[in-house]
Amino acid sequence: MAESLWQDILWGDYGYNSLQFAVYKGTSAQVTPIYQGVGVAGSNGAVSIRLNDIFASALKTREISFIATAGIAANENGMGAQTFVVKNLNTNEVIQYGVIADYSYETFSPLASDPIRLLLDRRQHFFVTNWDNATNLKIRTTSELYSAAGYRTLGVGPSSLRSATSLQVELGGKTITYKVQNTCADYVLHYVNKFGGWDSLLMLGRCEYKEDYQRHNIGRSYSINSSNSQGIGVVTHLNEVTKKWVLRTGLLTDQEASRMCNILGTTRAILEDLNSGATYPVNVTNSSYEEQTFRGNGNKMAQYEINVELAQQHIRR
Amino acid sequence: MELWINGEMADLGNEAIILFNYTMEDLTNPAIVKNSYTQTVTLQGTPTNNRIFSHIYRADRLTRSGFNPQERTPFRIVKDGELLESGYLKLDKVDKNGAKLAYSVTLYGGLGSFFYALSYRADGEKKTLADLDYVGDGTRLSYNIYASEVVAAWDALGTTFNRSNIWHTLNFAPCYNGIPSDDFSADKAIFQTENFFAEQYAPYPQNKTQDGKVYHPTNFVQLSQSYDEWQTRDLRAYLQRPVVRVQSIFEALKSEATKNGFTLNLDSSFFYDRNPYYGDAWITRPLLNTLELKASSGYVDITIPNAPQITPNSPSATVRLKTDIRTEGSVSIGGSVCARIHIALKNTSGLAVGDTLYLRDYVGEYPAFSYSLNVRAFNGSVIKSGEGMPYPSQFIFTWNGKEAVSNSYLDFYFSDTTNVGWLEIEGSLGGDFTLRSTSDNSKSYPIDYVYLTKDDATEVHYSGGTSARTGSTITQDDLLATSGTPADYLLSYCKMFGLHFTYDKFTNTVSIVTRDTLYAGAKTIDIESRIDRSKAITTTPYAFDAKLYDFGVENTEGAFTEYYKRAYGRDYGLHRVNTGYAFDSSNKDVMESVIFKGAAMVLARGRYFNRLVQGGQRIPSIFLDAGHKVTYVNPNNSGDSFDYDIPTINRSATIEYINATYKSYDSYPRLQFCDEENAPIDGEDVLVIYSGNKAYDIMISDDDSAMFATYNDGEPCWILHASGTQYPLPIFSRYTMSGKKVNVSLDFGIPAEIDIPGITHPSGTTVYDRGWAKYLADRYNVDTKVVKCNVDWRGIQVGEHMLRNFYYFDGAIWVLNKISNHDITGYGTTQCEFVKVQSKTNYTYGQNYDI
Repeated sequence: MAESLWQDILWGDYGYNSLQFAVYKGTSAQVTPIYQGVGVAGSNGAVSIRLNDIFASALKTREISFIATAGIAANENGMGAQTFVVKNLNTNEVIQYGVIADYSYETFSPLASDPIRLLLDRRQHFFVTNWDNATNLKIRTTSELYSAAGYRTLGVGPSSLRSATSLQVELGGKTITYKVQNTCADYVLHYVNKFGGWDSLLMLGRCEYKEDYQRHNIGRSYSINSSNSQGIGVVTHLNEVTKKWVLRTGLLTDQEASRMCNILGTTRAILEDLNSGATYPVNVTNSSYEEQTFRGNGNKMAQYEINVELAQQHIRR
Repeated sequence: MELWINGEMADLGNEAIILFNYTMEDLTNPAIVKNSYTQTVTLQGTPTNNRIFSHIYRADRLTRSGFNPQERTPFRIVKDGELLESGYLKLDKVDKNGAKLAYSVTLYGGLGSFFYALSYRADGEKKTLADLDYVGDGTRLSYNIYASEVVAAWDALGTTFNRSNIWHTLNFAPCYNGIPSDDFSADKAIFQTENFFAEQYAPYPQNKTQDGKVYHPTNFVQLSQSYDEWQTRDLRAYLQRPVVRVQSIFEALKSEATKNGFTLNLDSSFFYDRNPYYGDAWITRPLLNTLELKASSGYVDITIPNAPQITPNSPSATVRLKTDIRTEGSVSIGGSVCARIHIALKNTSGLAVGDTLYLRDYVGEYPAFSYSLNVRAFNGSVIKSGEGMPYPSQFIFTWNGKEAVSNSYLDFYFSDTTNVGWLEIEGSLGGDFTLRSTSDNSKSYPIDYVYLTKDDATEVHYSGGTSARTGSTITQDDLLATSGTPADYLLSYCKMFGLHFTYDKFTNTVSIVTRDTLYAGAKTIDIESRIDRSKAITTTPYAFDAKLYDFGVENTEGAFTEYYKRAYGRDYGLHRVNTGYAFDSSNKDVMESVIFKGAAMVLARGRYFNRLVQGGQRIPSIFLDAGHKVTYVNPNNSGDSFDYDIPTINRSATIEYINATYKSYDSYPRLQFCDEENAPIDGEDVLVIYSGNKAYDIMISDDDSAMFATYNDGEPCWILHASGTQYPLPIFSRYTMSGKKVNVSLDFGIPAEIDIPGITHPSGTTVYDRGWAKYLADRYNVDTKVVKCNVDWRGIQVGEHMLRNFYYFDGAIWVLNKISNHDITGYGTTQCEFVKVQSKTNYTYGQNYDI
């Protein structure tokens, strides 16, 4: 059973005034510890160490890789729980922990998917993250069943997948079925949801792209000796470019809208341009999420604007 | 831009902008060394940064592996693969605000980390000069202070510098140190009476009869007043002023730099052997008798046999004083030991008893001493507590360098006790010996006195007597435990002589160069088109902010420097520069933070700088004074004594003056480390120049005598000799001489008055003249101005090296004094400060250290 990082992971013992311990990454206490400390018994006579933030520094959702050049890519992002070992240096007793980067503050689910809209574009990449043993993950289309081993590219690999109309992901008794369609969307936003897994959302609304400029000028000496003088007294020597997108989700049902916090609260997102195939690491800049409902919206379906900025610094000199 | 900490790339937040500042000097204080990079940045508590700092903020953390806040953690700043800066960082604090963490760190780049390495040990404690490796192989300097060592030290002067010779690093400067204070009886003396009075009095007053009893003269004199070492001609070894060589310190600094990953490179145009400011320069240290020697406490367990009586009529007997010395480590015993014993014995037969008493050390087979006991005269009586014994029953032997282990012992061995009925021993073992740890030479435990008595003292506690005496072990920890760090000394030295630091970040090489060398390769760069004319250009018509700039170091409070200050209203050796700044009348002390101190050379004058000769005997001239008394004692009763007034010197004595030219003056000048009352003053951290030796007619360097234990309760006093040999004493001076003229001076200014007859102090000889005059004349010129403007440095690598070039714009030549907040990512132009140059030669040929 893996432990979620949002939950306090407490370790300790009774019967000691102080307890020296070391934390190791991996399954063995043979390597250099990532942390070493000494806990002191509290008023209840117990030493109790909170391990969450020690684990957190060595744990994060695995990055995804856009290897496929075309078609739906189903990248099983199955990292499983990460293993840490805590060693009681007083007794040399060793305890092992499986920990996942789950900040959902909800009940643990091995399938770390919480998609907003169950719709995939045939041009997009697709990733699924599981926190369990990777071999238990099942991905299937309407006609085929694949084990989770390895990496598959839908459309590039078995061509039947590209023409499939649905994609089903199953793990730990949880099944998610996506429709697979050709859409008019220009962008799909991949993001890490609150369970620590990668999801994506097709942006079916109108999206905008813009650049903000910050120019840096200097003045320099120059000579004017005729009315056609080409002397330049003010020089723009640097232009910092900030690339921004306003993404619109398209219409969402109440249930879909209730899951929008996954995007608006994310700390890691990648924008995929479905026309060019380019991908951009972006930061979501929205500062709040408000749950919209059909009734609360004046009998209109919910639609969200997501503001993202390129997570890179582009300049022109 | 990437910040790598300990080989791992740190996460830089948006606000963690690393700006570069480089400064050549503070214009208002040209001696302040500023050209080092330091920067404080804040790093957010990201998982990566938490890992780098090993969760240092957690209260339960133990520093076992990973980040150690007490150690210098290396960093590198890299941009586009190019190394911009490297050095060490210090974690200042961690702020935790809710779930948000922020690490405040100070980056010490280049010179900053170099000086940090010279200032702090790994445990965060400040370094001192004692922390340096002077020999170069880790050997710690240590010596036992004896007159023979002082003479050996003086003999070593003038030979080619060799780090492995301790006397090339440490030595002793003859100075006027005043009348010794602290545990020294400067108003008492020991001398051989017959040497002084044999000619004057007949019959020789060996014995004086009073009330029908015959009294013997002791060799102990109570003087009519206190005298200093020059008046008594007794250069006691531990009263000589210790000095440490500047060149050794720099060699040790090189080793220290290497140990910390740097190379220290010294400019050969200044750092050459013949330069009096370097090769012959030394720094004074405190007198040894004022040092707090490292000491510990412990006890010596001394066992006297339960049955000290020996068997009568046996052919020989041994009474053993067994010492069981227990300390924390093994110790060796050294120094001169005086065993004073009182023996009570009963001669049962009236015949002669054993006539030889041996003292043996614990090894047994090496008799340390033998003494013939003249006890034949006391037949048939019980002799107690010295009765009938030669008074006092004192035996002096040297017990040096022997390892004193448990169960070591002293034997009192009688070769023949045939006629001895019984014998008791009670006595004391005293003198100036030390217990010294053999495992750690730095630990020395001087023992003032160990009393051996039969009945009660089975355990003698000693607490480290911490003042140096003859034989004390002096370590570099004792002598060089300076209040300033090695960096303080280095910076002070460079400030004084106008030397500059440069740093090559690629090779971690720190170079110390003269100003001439600094600008020797300077290019003149045309930046006419790089000045940002859209931003303010500020011109200040002054490069200074005070009317008077004082170049000079703080003086020791010697008699003449104090007089000079009263008489002339300024410090001795000070050079005062009038900048012409008419809007202020204040003084600015340019050398304010310099650790070195000044002192005056004086030629002492007094009635004792002569020698009295009578009947071929040289008599110390203090016998010109009346009132000295010698003690006579009844040999049968030490409590029965009287003082005898020593007659003043007979008028037939002749006077030979030590200084034939200037009568009643000393032979040659010395540093004055005493006040008007001839009391000693602190005389440390004064730079002096060794300038050869001069034969000096004197009764030469002495060690303490074990007789002090007998006559003066173990407290040292003067030893008056009847004759002396000429010995070449070294001259440690504040200047070198060329004939009667001062040639190279350590003062900044020419004194208005010198307390030495017959010498002159021409201009061009002082530190100011040689190192500062031309440069400052350029800076304080009425046409000098300071311009602050923004410069576009694109295409030029900005760094400390830029401060060493000349720049041309607006029709003038400038030097770049300061680069402020240069953003390496190239956002905009950089504010710079330029100082107008009147003549480049004042920079490139402004110093004169080719001496």
